[in-house]
Amino acid sequence: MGYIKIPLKEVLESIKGGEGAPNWYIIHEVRLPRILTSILIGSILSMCGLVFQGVLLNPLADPYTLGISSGASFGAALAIVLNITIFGIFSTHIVSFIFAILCLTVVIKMGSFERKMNPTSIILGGIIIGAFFSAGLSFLKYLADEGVGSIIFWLLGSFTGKSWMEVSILSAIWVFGFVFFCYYAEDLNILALGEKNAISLGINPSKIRRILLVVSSILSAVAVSTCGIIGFVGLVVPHLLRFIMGTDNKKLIIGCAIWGGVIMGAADNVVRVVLPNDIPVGVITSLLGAPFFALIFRKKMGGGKLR
Amino acid sequence: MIDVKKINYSIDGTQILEDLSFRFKKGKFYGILGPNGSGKTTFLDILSGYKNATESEIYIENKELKEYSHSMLAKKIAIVPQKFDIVFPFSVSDILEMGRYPYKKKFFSLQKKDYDIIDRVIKEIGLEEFLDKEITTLSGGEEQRVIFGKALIQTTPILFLDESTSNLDPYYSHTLLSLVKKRVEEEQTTVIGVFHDFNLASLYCDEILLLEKGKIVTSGKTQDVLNSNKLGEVFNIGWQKYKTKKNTFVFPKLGDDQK
Repeated sequence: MGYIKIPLKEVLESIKGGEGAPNWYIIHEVRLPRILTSILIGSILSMCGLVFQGVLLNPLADPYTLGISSGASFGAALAIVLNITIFGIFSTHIVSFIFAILCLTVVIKMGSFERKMNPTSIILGGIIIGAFFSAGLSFLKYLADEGVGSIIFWLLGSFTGKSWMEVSILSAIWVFGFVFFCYYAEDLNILALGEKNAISLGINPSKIRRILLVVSSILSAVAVSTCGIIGFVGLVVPHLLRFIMGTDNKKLIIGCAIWGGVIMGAADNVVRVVLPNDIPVGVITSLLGAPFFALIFRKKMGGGKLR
Repeated sequence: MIDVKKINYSIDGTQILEDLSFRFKKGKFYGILGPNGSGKTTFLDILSGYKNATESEIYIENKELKEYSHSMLAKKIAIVPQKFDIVFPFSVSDILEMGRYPYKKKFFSLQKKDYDIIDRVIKEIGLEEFLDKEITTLSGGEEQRVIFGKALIQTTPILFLDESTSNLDPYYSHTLLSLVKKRVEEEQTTVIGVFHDFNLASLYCDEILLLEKGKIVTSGKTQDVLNSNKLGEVFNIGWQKYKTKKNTFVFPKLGDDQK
């Protein structure tokens, strides 16, 4: 399937047969990494979305709430405009990652007072930083002239041209993230009872918020800096699963890890196989995700309460 | 069992609690009364480790509060807060199970013993019909009963009630407070409750602390405090008092009554 047609039999043969098999290069070095990358990214973004919603006690939070996407975009654009190549072919990714982490640091500083973290000020900090870097990004686009095309393409988010290098980095952080989030899933449940109840049950909300925010932001930053901004997955998948599986974060984190990957992988295959041009998948997720989400949301919003 | 040698607390130069000291004995029900802003909730917040005092020396079961970790303290003190906001639609039984969190190991499920405790509390406060309901769909009073249940399930030697019956109808106010009273008598639980309803305090508290502007104005046996003149001075309102054999009930004098 795809632009170059390869029958299923040959695909299986080439996976088994190793380097000599026909079309080995296309399957092994182009398609397999791309499919794995899309699954890993979907899984990471969905888990991070769930964690952000739980930590910030806000059903509207997603992996980009802290302005990480704006920071990463700005960094990438900067690398493209200034033609930074000190880190070799991964320069754009690394610069964008650095800016994403910079964003995260500033937002967490803005949202913490006397070592206590307030979800509302964190969200507000994210909006402020996001606005700042968005303006910076617009300015860079304005400066870039003909380079603007490559900036826009980077920002749209796509899995085209991913190699085993990305797959191995993403797998490593996926494993770390998954274990880490599973460990804290129960604390995330307790956080939902509010600050005083949480303390009374023996957890330190500020500390848990900080480590969970930092870890999930770093994971999101890695995701954004490898594949650009893929919208909506991190918001929709946790909600979708909450409708189906209930509110328990212990179950949801596993659900998000699996279904986030499945949904993203499927979306990318739709893009790759069904659509004539290789449209960036970020466009598709938002284009299909938004109306779909609106639909379930209307159905589930009975009584006017956000659930 | 809670020995408060000293608490000072101020925010932005405003003194909220000033040189507070008091000794709470084991197996007693204490009530804290005082006007709005007198520091009642702040006092409980500091004792429960939610807020850090500017200066404090507090001993809980002979060990200084600062030496307790959050998880150790969770096995000593349970709180029913005045305000809480639950955003996600957890089921009532999920929330009740969270009451056993301090005793639970990560990645392990609850033991039979835990479920026995949960089932007992469910029966005691009549939560059977709510178990599968989502907490976000309950009324304020129902929600408060669930959180009350969660605190009882925590089975701690110390229980703090911050206006914990403010949303409850008379039937449940008395059911829950009687239950707490029973724990005080049978299990030697120490309870500190903030009240605005003096007559509830009169019925259930052994002793009362009267707070004004962050200081203890007077303290002692419930009937003595309710009968003292201090009540009128602190609340700046006249009181009519009705005495029965066991209790004193007080009602504000308003308008024509004041002549």
